[in-house]
Amino acid sequence: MSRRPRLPSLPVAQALSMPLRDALRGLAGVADLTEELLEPLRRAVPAPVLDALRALEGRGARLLEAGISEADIGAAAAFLAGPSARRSDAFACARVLAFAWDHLRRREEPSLLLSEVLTAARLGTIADRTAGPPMRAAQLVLALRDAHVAGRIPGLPVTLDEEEKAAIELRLCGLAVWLLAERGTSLAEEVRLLDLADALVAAESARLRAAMGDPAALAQALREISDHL
Amino acid sequence: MSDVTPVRPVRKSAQRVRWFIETFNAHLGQVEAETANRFVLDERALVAAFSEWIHAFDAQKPGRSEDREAFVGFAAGLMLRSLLRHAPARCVGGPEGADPGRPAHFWPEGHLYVTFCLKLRGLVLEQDFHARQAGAPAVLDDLRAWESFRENVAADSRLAVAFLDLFAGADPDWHMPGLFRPRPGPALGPGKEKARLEP
Repeated sequence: MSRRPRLPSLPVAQALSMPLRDALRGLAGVADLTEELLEPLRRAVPAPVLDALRALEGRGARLLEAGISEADIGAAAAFLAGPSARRSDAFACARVLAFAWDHLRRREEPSLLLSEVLTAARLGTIADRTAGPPMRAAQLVLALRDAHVAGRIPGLPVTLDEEEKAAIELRLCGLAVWLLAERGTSLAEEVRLLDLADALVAAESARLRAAMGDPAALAQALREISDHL
Repeated sequence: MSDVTPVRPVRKSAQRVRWFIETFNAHLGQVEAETANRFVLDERALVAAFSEWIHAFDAQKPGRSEDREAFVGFAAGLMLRSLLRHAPARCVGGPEGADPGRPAHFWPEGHLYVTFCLKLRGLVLEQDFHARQAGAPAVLDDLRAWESFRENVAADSRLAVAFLDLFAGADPDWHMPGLFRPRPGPALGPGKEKARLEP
């Protein structure tokens, strides 16, 4: 019996376009949410259904996690730090932000998704090319919040309670703090720094929430917090 | 802790959460090895302690360069205060037949935090001021001191600053421990230590 020829591995994540990755996020999110909703009925739900949901959620997460490098993160930080008119830079930054969001949402608020497509579209409109990195970071946070790029249904300001809105604002601040900070020396260290940035903004939530209406105050807070990351 | 001594000065590195967490983790591992105590660490609570500490640090940082050496001990005391408030570590087990008369087993978490803050204090003093922290004073092994420490900081966490000075062999300010007031002065003698331990 002849052995089946081994197929070359397909770099799936690289081949996925932004809308497809968003679809995958939605799929993983829906699977996760469905599992959460079915939790009270766990005994009544057939095991194969729960297994299928877990497989969907896990597969989506694994595919989304692949394909981000330290260089991508450095490029996203550079986009935040200085003006770039290239759409591809905005797309690259959006991809890193979406990766970071997906990583963080697995621990808390898994039902809040971030759309890479909407993020990329909004990043391209941050027009102030004279602002320094902290002010650009503040503009990014406020622009992404106002465009509702994250939520249960990204793009629509519906079905979000105050707690969820606050969670989205803080998570966006965490991403900004992470990108403003000194870069790590490996992908593992970058992920570690992302977790620490998220924890740090949680500890500074009162200050950040108070600054959300004032871009200058928000820029200062983001700069000071990132200096301590 | 020497294996995580960074290239930049410790006083600068300690103001960055990435170094702080790594160094605390290294210290925790070392304490576990030395005492056979086992801890679980809530890293988000540790970050919250760091955040509170950095604000307290910035709020009282002295402008005069001649006050900076005195501020090192005070800043380490503020760190102890924040660690006690946020309680990021929890001891989940110790060695069989552990001697509760030893501070590390009497109050494992308190011992963990105190030894961490003393190490940082010593590192900064040595690196920036070429000053050696007084060798571990007898009070560091005195169970009565630890009983007093535990009881007093539970009632008023600001006293952590004064107790860290005591454990470092320096002169504690028991009256306004949460306020930085540079005071030249030698470490307390054993008699004085004893007297001041009685609240």
